[in-house]
Amino acid sequence: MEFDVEHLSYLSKLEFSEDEKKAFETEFSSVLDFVGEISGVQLSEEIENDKPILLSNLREDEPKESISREQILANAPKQKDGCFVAPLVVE
Amino acid sequence: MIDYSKLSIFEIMDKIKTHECSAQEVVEFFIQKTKENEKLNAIVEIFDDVVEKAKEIDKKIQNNEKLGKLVGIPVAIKDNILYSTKKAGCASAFMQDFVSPYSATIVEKLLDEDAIIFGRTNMDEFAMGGSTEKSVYGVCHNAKNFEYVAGGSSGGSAVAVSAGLVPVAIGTDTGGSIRQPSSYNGVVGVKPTYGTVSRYGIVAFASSLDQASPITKTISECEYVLKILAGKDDHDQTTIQNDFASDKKDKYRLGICKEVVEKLKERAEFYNFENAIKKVSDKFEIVDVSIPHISSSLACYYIIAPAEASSNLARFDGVKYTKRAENCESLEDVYVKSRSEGFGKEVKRRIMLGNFVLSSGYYDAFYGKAKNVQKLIKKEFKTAFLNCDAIILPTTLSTAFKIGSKNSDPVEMYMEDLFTVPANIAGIPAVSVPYSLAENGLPLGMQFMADEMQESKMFEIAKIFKSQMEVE
Repeated sequence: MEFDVEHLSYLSKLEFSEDEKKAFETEFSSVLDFVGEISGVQLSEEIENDKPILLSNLREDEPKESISREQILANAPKQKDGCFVAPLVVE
Repeated sequence: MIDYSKLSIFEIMDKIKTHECSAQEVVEFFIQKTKENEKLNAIVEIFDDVVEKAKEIDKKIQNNEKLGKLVGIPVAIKDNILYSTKKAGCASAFMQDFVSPYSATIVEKLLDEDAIIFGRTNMDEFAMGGSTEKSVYGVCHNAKNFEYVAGGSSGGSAVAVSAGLVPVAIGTDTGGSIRQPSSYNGVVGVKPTYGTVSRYGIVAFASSLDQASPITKTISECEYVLKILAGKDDHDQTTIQNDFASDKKDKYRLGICKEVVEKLKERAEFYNFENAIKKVSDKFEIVDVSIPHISSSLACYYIIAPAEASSNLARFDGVKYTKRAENCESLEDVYVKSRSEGFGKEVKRRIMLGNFVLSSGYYDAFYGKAKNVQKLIKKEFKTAFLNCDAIILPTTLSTAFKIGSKNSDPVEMYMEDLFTVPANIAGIPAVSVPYSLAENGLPLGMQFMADEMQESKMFEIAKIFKSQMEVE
């Protein structure tokens, strides 16, 4: 099984040192062997075609009172003029 | 002075209501008790307004106002549950500046019943772990033996109740995070039917598996508090109306799962299990049941939970909340550097694993397959419950282990969840009840699982079991 640490770090928005990457590769091979067990489970067509388990009961999409902009921004590491501040994305 | 840590919540409330003591005295007792046991590292913060809140309740009593169902009872909450204007840190360095802008639905419910939200309990970072060793606040210690782990991830909540620091603590359970530490510390912990308790205002780990619930000293208290927390919530569309319908019988049928017995047989703890079954054999009709794929629950869990976690934890980006890394030149930099500095090792491991099982080329073989195996396991439980009222099995393979002894191998750590994850995978309720001491003197928990929304019956069966254990 190909476990591409570089690609997965990119998807995960995480970075690792070379040592950490090596450690991950070893740990992951044992974790994947362990979860890979389910490939051996035989499933009937009935189970495969059965509806998914979780069904949310959606409510009407009505505007309701919510928490204020100030409260939402209060935890932001950087904010200005009622907005989150992040490095420039488009020149 | 009265030792309130020896009393049930019902006894404490009686004393408060009959003016035998004040809510303030009760809360001050527990503050003192928590301070004396600081070394356990179970409660990481006592909220600064608890005495003030107790005084407000005493005023209500003086004025003969209508009182809630938890009047004056101090309740500790896990560090991933939001309480307006208070910190919630998920035991993560990443979240140490976070102040809750609103309260979780369950916190509102507790407050509505005049409970006092006492403080925050220690946990594994982002609820990922089974020992409460992976916390920014440091290791939490077992209430029965300081050298041993608390269990986790709701380790602080279980230790707090076991050591008498609070009468009730709330935990969250995604794969056993309430039941396993409850078992390790000799207290009662329940995971209700999925959807019974609102998840609004609780930091999400794996949304399709997460449930919050109480940890208490006795089964009656656990059941009582769970009923207060339960209910449909407009803020959480997965909540259900669980009426806790009861199904009284003269003799309940208790199922023993033969696949579980197979796993247990070789272990010393099998003696305790067998012995317990013998003790209750005339109180229940004991039947054999089979859940052929119960062991595959663990693999399912370690695919589904990381997959959902990788998505849920994407919101921690150093922009909206959580600390931002220094010297970031681009937005990508903000994400990558902040997350890499902020998350601990186990959290990163699970995000990576989650992204792997969801990634192109592996989705069908892992995530897709796990979701289908989950349906199979759910069906196998349904079939088993046609033949029994509850399934009895140990909460864990063994007792708490020594601090630091299981840190190197993740798979060994994941195996701790073998008997607890099936209930999360199947969405059914399960309760852990202390029943015996192992050779090392540490408590063992027995678990009861019932069909969806059969909590009342499950508690009833657990009570009959527990009363038999107390007969020598």
